[in-house]
Amino acid sequence: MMDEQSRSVILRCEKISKSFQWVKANQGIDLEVYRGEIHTILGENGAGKSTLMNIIYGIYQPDSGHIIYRGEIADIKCPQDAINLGIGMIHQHFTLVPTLSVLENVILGKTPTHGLFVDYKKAKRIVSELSKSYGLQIDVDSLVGDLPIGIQQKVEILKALYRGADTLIMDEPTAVLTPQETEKLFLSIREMIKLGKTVIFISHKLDEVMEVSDRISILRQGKKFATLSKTKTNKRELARLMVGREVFFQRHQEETETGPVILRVEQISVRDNLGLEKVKGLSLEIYGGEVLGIAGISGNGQKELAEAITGLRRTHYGQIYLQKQNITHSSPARIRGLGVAHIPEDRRTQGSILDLNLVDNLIIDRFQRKPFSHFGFLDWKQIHQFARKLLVSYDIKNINEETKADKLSGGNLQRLILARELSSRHQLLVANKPTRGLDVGAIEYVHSQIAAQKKAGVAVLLISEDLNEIFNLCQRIIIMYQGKNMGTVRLEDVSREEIGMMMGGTPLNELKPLLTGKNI
Amino acid sequence: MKVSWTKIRRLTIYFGFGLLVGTVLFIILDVNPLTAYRIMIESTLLSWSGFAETVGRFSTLLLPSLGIAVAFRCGVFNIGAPGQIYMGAMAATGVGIFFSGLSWYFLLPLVLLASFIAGAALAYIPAILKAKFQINEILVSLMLNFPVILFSTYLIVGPWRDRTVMEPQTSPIGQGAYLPLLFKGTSINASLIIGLAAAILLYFMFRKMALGFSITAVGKNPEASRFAGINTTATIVISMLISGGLSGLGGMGEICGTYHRLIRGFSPGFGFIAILIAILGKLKPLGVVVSTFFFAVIMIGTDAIQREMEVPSGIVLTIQAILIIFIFLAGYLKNK
Repeated sequence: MMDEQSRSVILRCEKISKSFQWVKANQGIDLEVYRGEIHTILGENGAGKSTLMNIIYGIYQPDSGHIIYRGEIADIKCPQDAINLGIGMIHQHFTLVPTLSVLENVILGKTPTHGLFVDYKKAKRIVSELSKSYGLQIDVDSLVGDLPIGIQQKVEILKALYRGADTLIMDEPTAVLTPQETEKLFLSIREMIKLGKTVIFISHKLDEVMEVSDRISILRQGKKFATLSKTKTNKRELARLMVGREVFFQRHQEETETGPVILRVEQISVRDNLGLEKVKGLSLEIYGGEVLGIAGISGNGQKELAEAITGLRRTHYGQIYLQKQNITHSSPARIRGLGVAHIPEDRRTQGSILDLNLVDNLIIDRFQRKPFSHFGFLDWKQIHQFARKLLVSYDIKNINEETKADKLSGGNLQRLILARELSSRHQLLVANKPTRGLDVGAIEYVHSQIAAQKKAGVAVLLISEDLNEIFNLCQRIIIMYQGKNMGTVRLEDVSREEIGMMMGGTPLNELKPLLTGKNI
Repeated sequence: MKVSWTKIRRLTIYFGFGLLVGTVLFIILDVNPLTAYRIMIESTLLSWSGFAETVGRFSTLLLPSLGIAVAFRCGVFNIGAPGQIYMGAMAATGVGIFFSGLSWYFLLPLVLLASFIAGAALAYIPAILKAKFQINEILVSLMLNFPVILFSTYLIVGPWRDRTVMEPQTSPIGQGAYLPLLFKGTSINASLIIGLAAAILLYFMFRKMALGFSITAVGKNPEASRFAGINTTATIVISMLISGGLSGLGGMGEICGTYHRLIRGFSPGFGFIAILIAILGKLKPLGVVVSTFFFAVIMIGTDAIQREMEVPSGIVLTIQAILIIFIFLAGYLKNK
């Protein structure tokens, strides 16, 4: 595929720089994308990938530097300019109208008309042909809201192609996809390349990058470190370039002494906001110095379980004990006071207040208590001292403490939340999907922190969809399905396949006869 | 508070645009715009009586505006300031009439307390409904304005009516309930001091107190605040009690400072204008002080144009609106 034509440069970025207040998101980035290649932009969260792409797509204006498209300086002031040039972008969060059909979504804003009316016949013909020629296979009459995420993404791609995109920027398109959907996406991407399109693919998942790319550019801390041809590199080198040091994919399985039972949950039932019973008579015990994993597909009651334990949701039936104390109907503040730390599922809406600065975010759980306030008056000197110490020890560097939390990358924001939660006096840590959406380096950091908690004798409840994470950190796990415990097992006694079956709804006692000869 | 030159320059430019549009309107109406603007400035800032009138309006608007700022800071959209002002006014009048015999050092604190409680009590209804049952506070607080204001009319024409005069108004309150005038021959009374003191206290509360921090945190993200262990229900209710109480004090200021009895329409739309003032002041206590003064100048100034140049009131209100819209533009279009 490396003939003369595909070697010609279609897009060139020259010395692109962009700063947001204190954060230098892009610093003098040079980038060349060849016509007809799949060019991956690899980097950790916060490395400046999205900023660079948003500059190319006209959402941000660079502070300096310029973009050359097809050999001419492109003055891209807004996404419409980019679209007119033939640059399309598929965002992480889709921009579709769920109540409209696929066809309507695709032609929205660029509608073939017949007098005053929309020419649906013509539109349907164009869109169907387009869809067929790229192997996207979408029923253009179905409602977008009814489609699974993977298909919705195809609709986004179709939309960009319909608007005449030659170069397609895809911002972490696989973040929302299942492995099967990812495979299909890669097939479509290859189809597009065959038909002469260029794809800029953004990712931090090394396996995918090695599978799909022609060339890879690595960004780190707003700078471009290298552009490599896939055939001349490997996963390990990419990881090192991306993180800036050697990465060890290490398991945290040191045996630790387990202490007494810290948390005991007895037969609890919990309902969701619509009144549906999401946790049905679940019991569990966690010992000090143990990480108990809750495996299961999202939406099987894990969130409600975590919220019941932390007092954020009413427990309808059953009891929860922290050591000897019954905390079933205690307030979140009291449960925190008794020694429960909580890393919530969504760090941007539940774990932090994005519009407050770092210092404020570090004290939102404790500003009402001594030594941070006395008789209702805040002691800002004490607060700043405390916050500065935490920011240093949790390695949140080069960021002014007055910066608003929304300027932080995902990894740094999670560090901020860890800093707050782990610095509180606690005997139980409830961590709900603590590494969701994080990159390799940040995941490694979170895992080492959780392992350190275990060593320190804290009881940890780890909720995760990611079996690798569970295998990494836990000894004992509970598999949750439709609010029920499918079985409590020690990891050395089960295979991934068996866990998978339990996640799909087969309880442990029915699994035994299925797998005769195997001792669980 | 940080005041940067770019901010001031931007405000000036946009205000200039507003004046320009006003000029066009004046020219169409065959009114000399320069004379009009001269009158506007002279009648508010350059003459003693005009300045006094402006400060009077400033102190009328300040308390409700501060009140609204507190509720909005907590993410509670209190649109009930008009009703809360009337509640405060009714409480002040009631106490002022029925305890008219008391001397001022008993009566005045009693009147202050009663009016604060009355305003807070009305605000408590939307607050508790929102905090406990997630019922939209905008609807509830807005709708409560109507029965409350109509009830005050009932009191004025009914049980509390002063039968000795033709105009429907209540009997006068006792002298002990009068807010003292600060300057003889003006309408500037002690409600100015109450308003400024409230602004300073709120500034202090948001800066230094755990309660202020809770209110800000809940306003910015109630869910994360709850996750962090902040009692969001209590925070919402307290912010609304402060909010309604301050509006109630505002109503008291009008009765005890100016009218000395309850009359109809003593607060024409001020409770709604206070919403604009609070937003323009970025919901910060000191910002609200500045924006209140700005509104007072615009309102008194354009009134003077109407009076002295016989411009129709509709035009004057239009010019008021144009100036205000341009100042809001300056606040929101700061990036370009």
